Amino acid sequence: MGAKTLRPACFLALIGLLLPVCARAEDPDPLGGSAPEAPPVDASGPNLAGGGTSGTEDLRVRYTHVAEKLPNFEDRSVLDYIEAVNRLDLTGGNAHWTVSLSGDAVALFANRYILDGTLYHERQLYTDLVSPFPDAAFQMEKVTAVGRARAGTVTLGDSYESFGRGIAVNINKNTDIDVDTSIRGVSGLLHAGKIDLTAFTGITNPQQIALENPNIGLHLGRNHAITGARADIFGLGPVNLGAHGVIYQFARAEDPTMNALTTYDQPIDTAVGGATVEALGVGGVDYFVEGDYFDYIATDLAAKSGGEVYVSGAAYPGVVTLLVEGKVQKNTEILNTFATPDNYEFAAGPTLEYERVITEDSTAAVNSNDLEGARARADFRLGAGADTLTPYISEAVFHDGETGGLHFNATPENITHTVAGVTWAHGDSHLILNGGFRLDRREPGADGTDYGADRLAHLDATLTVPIAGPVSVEIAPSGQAFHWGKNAQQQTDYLDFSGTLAVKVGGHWVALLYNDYTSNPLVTSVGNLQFLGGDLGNDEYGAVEVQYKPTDSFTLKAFYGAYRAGIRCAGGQCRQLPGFNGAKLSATASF
Amino acid sequence: MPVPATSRAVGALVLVAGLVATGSASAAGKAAPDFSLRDLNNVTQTLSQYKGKVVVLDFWATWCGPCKIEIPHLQAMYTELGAKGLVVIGISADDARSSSQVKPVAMSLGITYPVLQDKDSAVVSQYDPAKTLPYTVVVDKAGNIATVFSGYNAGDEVKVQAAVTALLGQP
Repeated sequence: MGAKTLRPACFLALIGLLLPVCARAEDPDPLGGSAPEAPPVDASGPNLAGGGTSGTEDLRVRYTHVAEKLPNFEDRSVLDYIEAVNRLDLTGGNAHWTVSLSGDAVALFANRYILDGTLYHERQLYTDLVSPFPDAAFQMEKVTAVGRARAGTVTLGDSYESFGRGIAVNINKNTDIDVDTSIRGVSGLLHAGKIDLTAFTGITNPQQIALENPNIGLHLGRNHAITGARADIFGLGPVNLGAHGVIYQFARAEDPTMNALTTYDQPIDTAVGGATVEALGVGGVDYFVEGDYFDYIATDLAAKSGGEVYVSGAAYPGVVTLLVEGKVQKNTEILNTFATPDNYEFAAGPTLEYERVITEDSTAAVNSNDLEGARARADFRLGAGADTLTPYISEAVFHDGETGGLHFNATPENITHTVAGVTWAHGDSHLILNGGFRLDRREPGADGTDYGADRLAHLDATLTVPIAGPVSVEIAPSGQAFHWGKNAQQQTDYLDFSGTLAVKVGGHWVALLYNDYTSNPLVTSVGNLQFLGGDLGNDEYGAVEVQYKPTDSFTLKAFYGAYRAGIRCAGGQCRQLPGFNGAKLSATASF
Repeated sequence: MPVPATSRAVGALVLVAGLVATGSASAAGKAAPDFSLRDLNNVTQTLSQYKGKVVVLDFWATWCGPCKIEIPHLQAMYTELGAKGLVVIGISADDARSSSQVKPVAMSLGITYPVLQDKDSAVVSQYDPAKTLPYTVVVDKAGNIATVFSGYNAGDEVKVQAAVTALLGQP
């Protein structure tokens, strides 16, 4: 029985990936039998529960159908290809240390078309990754060892770091959009009475192999060096104080051979210093204030300095929860100049935006270098226990002074965004409903020119209703209508819609139908429902998926169909994800 | 479409390794990694301080819809079984930028159990590297993982409570 849980690590060790882990793996009963006793815990010292290796395994196989045909071979789909991605995460440890490893393997199949000895087409898996195989690669993405003691923790290897509200540094994983950049180096946290001291230094380590995105032309990310320190003082009455500093040394695009050591040789490009004040329950209000100053030392950055101030206040009168946030930012996005090509950010403060409707135009509110704004939100909690009814309303107001480029505006604009919704739950019936309207009104030009306004209306919902016995249905429609004002890169108004119908049977089976529609001309992927006819068919995407979950820690999924390209946001980060047409199989497990 | 033999072999190995690994999965019985995080009042809490109690860890985020559906069920279970030794700990996986929203959302959801902030994903990465939310872990009195629930489907709360009730009855 023990061999079964040992097998995942050991099997992968056969391909030379995880031999040390295999040797350490322990072996409890995977069927829920008697578990090994945890070692005695010393309450006076470090007390990590006992050893053992646990982990997750995520295997995905994708058949990608490409609508375009190779010239002279229009009668066959030679551009189609197959991709297999395998991610294994392992965590083990003892009373003092926890060690985590994350490794990715990827292989392409049918990625060349050779006829009679002539190569007509090929897809290169990678450009500058190191691999002995032309169409397969392995990357040890993350290696982390965390040591704990009463006085604090030390982290060797990959870690995620943020200070305050993420304005000075915010390196975090966001697996929903396939972004996982860490800092590979050393990090430490020291508890000294009421004071916490945090320090780290390392180089950025972007995830190399994507789980969800196509792995074509993979290349090593640039290694930027980031060093930071922060001190927190807690318990000054209701007040907590903090101060931090971060320095950045960027790797330039023109020097892709730069590695960790040479990056540290570079002069400091940017220094950020900031402070935070938090006061909890003062007059029934929780306050937070952060201010950061950016000193752009490097001459190839677009500004010499920048800064941001963020404030928030929260109160809880009766059934009402009130949250007010405000910020002023100037030239803070410039910090991310050298991270943008690799699709992540070194730092970004709270966006104050409703991330489910961040669009091309949202740059005004989200990524501006000259923005001031605020948002207020009120939730009203009605009901009790598991039966809840919580309506809310939110209003955001911004002034975006940045013009040109992706802001699509010749003059500054004033933005208002109203969002309202409700969360309702009764038994196994649930509803989450959100809707809103954003107006980006441009100021008149110096010559009196009216540049109009951009308008966005949006609505999304998730409704779950039990049908009979273990069967329940979930419906999740989402739509938005966008109207552009006048701008230099005049674009076309568009309508987006996506819908999901899921039928769930107990906790084991889920059948899903997906439908996407978009008239956004910027979306280049082509729908797969052309049989519906005309332009409508080209804009319509349909897919079906079946999920099977035999145990709580094991899920199988089979997907067939297409979805559109577009901006996808999760956890405060957004990324333009490509469309897909084809089939997918995935198996995910924790062990 | 010929493919080099070495690539075919490596690709096949990737596939087979993944299938074998996933086919032998079980999370139960592993030691739950300890952690040290601050709660919404900035008080440091550790998992090990609850040794001897049944603990439910709920990884969630303010932007996660299914989390907000699951949490009232966990709160109801905590209200019912807290006096019998059940500890529920909410661990917010919100990053730094949405940190100010955590307490207001927790309050609007009626949470009365401790909510800790894992702003740097240090803890969620150990329990759930894929960062699937919600992610619910039931830890037994000895500090071992009894069962995990990835995501939330209607009725999962019944399974969680059954697991908790069984563990509470154990010495």
